[in-house]
Amino acid sequence: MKRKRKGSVGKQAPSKRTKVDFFTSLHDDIVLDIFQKLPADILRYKTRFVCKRWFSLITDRVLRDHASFLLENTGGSSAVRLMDISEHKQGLALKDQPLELQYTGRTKSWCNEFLLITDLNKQGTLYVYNIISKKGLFLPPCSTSCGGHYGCKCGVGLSYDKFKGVYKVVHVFWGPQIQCELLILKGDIASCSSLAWKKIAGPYYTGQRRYYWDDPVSVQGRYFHWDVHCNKYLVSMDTVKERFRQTRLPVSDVFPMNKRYFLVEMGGFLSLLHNVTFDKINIWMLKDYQRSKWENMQSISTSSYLCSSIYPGFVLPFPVTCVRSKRYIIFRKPGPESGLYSYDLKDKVMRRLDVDIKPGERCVVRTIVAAGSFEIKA
Amino acid sequence: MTSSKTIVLRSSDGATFEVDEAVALHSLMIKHRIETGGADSTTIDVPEVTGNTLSKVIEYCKKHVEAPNSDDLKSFDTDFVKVDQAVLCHLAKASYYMNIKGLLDLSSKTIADMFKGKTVEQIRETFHIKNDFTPEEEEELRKENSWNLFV
Repeated sequence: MKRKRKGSVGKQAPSKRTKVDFFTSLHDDIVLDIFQKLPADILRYKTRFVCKRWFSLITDRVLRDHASFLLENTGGSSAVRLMDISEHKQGLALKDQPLELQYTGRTKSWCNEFLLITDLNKQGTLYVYNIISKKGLFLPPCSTSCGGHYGCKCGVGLSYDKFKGVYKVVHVFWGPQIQCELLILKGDIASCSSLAWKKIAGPYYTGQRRYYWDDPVSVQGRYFHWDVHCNKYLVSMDTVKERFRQTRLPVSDVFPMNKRYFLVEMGGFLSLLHNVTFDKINIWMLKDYQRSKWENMQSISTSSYLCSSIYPGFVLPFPVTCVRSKRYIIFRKPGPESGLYSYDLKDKVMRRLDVDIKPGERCVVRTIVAAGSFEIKA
Repeated sequence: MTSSKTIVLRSSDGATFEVDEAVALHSLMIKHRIETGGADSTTIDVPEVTGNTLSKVIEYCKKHVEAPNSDDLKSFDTDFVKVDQAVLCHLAKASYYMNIKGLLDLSSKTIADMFKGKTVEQIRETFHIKNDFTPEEEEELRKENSWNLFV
């Protein structure tokens, strides 16, 4: 479309016909505030391409296409490895840097800059640690007698309620009655002196789990999902509404759902990777939580070398995390020759990542929730 | 509240506005100025904001301070931003500079809503943004994103 403009020489004198770019005079902070009110997919596939300034602001400051996870020793440690995977034109870039925590324990959950750690030496008291400010806080002991959050009878997760601007610790304990309680962390974590756990109604359906419970998969820092070893349902919780429910698993005529599946967050959605054969995975994505609507995405072929053989069977590789554009899924090959792999959904290639990972190291994936509150610099 | 102290705000073009202190404090920038200003803090300069815009900002603060629970607050806000692009731009900048979160949120949300349903080209037209990608760059970006099945 031709722009109607009178030719002008030298300095641009404002004329009625020349329309000024609305955004030129807006500080980056204001522009970012506007972008943060748009859905990520719109930003990624449309808004980004308006001009170069928007491209770099959105890519670098809003989308932040990094997948981050911690590697720590199963026995707990104060020195963990921060793995940061980011997407570039040529593929994935991996950063591996040590992170010294001022605390020793087993990290159970990671949301934004907060780690939820259980102290193996203090009967598993929970500790919340801010990796940026390096400050932490012991949480009051929960009212159930789960014996310390490191056994196999309970699962904890850290969620962020962006509507209320608070973090919530969700503790689910297999009693044998299933119990749940929450701890709400307001605002500045260091100033929470009078915290109390709040009991809420637990899930009344617990699938095939009879003896143990574990930590959930966190989606958007809001929806928690537990694999309950069932071919029909998951147990889910909307941590904003503080309500449990069953989530029906996807139904397929070609490959009936069984129990060989893994859950992983992919770009803000829960994905179920169904191992239909030992080297073929069907990807299902929970596109609509409220209506439990699953969509069958593509199938991927892993390769036999990714399984770890443990006579007489084999152990499947399991997904760890996914980059936010959903193009690469990071898998871990279990067993003594443990390694990390990325599957490129565009080129359909599985590649081993150039990183050393020991069998005794476990992964804790970071969930980043864009904060609803916008901090204006004074 | 018994205090009826007033503050005078002076815009970039010299216009002055006398407001209740409580209303002025709705701007965290002014609050900071007053708290650190000392004795002579009854007149505050707001050189980044013109008189026209400052008058509107004060109108917003008044409503939100004096009647924060009124039923028509929502419709007040909706009507408040039914202005042309230039005024909206000035309101966003003023609310950022004066650190008035509610007004900044309102302005940015209004601008964000203007993106809905528009193609890239339509967004450029609406906001008069120049496309500074070369055709080669655009083609490359298009190719990189053609594979995605998730949107």
